[in-house]
Amino acid sequence: QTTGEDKLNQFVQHVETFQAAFEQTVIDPEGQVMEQAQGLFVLSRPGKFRWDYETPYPQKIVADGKNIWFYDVDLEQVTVKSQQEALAETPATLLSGELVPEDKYNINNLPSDDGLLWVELTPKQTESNFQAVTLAFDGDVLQQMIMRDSFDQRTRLTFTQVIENPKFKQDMFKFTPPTGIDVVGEAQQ
Amino acid sequence: CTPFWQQKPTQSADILWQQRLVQQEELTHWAFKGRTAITQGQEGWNAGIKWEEQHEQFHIKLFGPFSQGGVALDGDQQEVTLTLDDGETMTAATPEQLLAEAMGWLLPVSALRDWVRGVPYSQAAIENKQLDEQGRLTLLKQAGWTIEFLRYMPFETYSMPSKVFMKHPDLSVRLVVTDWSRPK
Repeated sequence: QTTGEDKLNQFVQHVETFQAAFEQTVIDPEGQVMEQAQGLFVLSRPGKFRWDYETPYPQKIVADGKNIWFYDVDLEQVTVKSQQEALAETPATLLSGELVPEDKYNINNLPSDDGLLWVELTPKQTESNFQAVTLAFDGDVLQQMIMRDSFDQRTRLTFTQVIENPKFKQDMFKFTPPTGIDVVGEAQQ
Repeated sequence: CTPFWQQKPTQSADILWQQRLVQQEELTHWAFKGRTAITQGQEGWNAGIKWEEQHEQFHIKLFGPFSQGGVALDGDQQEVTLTLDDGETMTAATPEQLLAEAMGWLLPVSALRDWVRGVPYSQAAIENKQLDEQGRLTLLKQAGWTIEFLRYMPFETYSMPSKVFMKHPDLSVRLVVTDWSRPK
């Protein structure tokens, strides 16, 4: 009987690159939807990914393997941080990292009646900055990822049009700040 | 030129500005959601922001992408509690003190409370201000800060800022508001 954990291990081992349309829903502790956004997510393990938010506001989060770039078009600013510093303890590293989940997370399979295989990861280190990451697999395909912070605020990502191991252009994960836009922070060379 | 009795009495920006101040006085219960970029020296943070005010009570929540690294500030004029994303809490008399200690940010929360609503900070002199033809602030200089009001959006009978860039020699706060509302 395959479990969510099996699917997660399969994902970590077999998925080198990944592409999907995503819908992000932020839900406040009372269960109210705070915000919904959509965009494209691409991933190249280890260490590279892009979240290109299109609606309701254009925003880019790009990890190029060394640095992570946040560009919010309306705020007219790019913030750059070294990838180690910024992402040390976030679920994004789970998808993009080469780490084997067991050593960082307690993993348990959740019962479900929606035909999906659910697995929940809770960080072994207590002072991590999120409480739990829950992943749902539809057959072999990663369909949902839900992150819950210590205020019980949840960010749910639903993936559609999933393509596993696509071929990407050379500069897919290269980020060049648009001219005239402030860049804050030092990019690691 | 048209005779004076036919000219639409275009009230001067200053009169409209005075009316705005009176109108904003009544607004004691408000809330907004948006995004902010805080920059101090060469370090920057992008965060979602949720701010609720009811008379003296306020709740401010900042959260990073994917709800990572959240910070919550809850309090009133006497006491404020800051809660970090690992559950740790700290309490002090003012939000400014807490953010300086916990995050190293010198964020003038009390001034921000007025600026985000498009009114000057009540506790500081106005060094300079510019108004648009509707009597709304487009530029404000106070307490060493230069505040640009780049966009407004309607909220009930009010016109509220939806894009505000606040600059101080060693700190910059950029704010985009996506939604003004009443606290729950």
